[in-house]
Amino acid sequence: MNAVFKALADPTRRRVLELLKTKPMTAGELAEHFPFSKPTMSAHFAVLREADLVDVQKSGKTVVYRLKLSVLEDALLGFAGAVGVISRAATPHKSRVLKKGTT
Amino acid sequence: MSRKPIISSLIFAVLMVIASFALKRAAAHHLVSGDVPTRGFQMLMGLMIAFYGNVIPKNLPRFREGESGRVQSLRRTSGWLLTFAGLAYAAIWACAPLGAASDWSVGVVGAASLTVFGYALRVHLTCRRAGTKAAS
Repeated sequence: MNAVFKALADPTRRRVLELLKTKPMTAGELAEHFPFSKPTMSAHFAVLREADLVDVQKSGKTVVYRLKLSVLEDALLGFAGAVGVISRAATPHKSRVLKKGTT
Repeated sequence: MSRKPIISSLIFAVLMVIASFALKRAAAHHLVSGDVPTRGFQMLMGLMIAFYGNVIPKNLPRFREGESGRVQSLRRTSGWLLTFAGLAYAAIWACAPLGAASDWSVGVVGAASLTVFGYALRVHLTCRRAGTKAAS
């Protein structure tokens, strides 16, 4: 369960899971949605695979990722997303306050 | 073939036999009132339905070329519906009057099962019309 929490803690990995909710996707299709390098994305995929939240299948030369979330993990993803949105909304405000304080 | 589903099913079976036996013994020794064994056992049944509903989206079939999002959506919807139906089943047996609990709980699980069946049929027909192999 620790691996699941670790995987869901990162907004990029949560976004990957949200994208996979629509349909199974190849690694390339998923990477198109992010401004990160291939090794970075591979590291994110590895964490998701380790937590058993995605299923990986080789189809010819491409690697296809499928969502592998139980209902509980799906609910945790939704909860983590909601908490993430709240904390993201709060963070810029804090940084603005800090910047104002330093200038 | 994975042994995990067999082991979890056996654990549930043993748990149900033990719970049934323990509740019956407790009622015989007047440790619990008359309807507690029935309610307790039915609540366990509800939790079992919720458990199996929870793992439906996790048990993926073999990957097929061109698998659509519809099949995945069916698995997720079925999982959510049956998990909630199982929890509702357990909650009804915990709280509802004994006379009505049977009808209400079977009604909830029956409605969820029918919805899943109807949705599965719709996905199957849509995939067949679209010419994909995904629903077969």
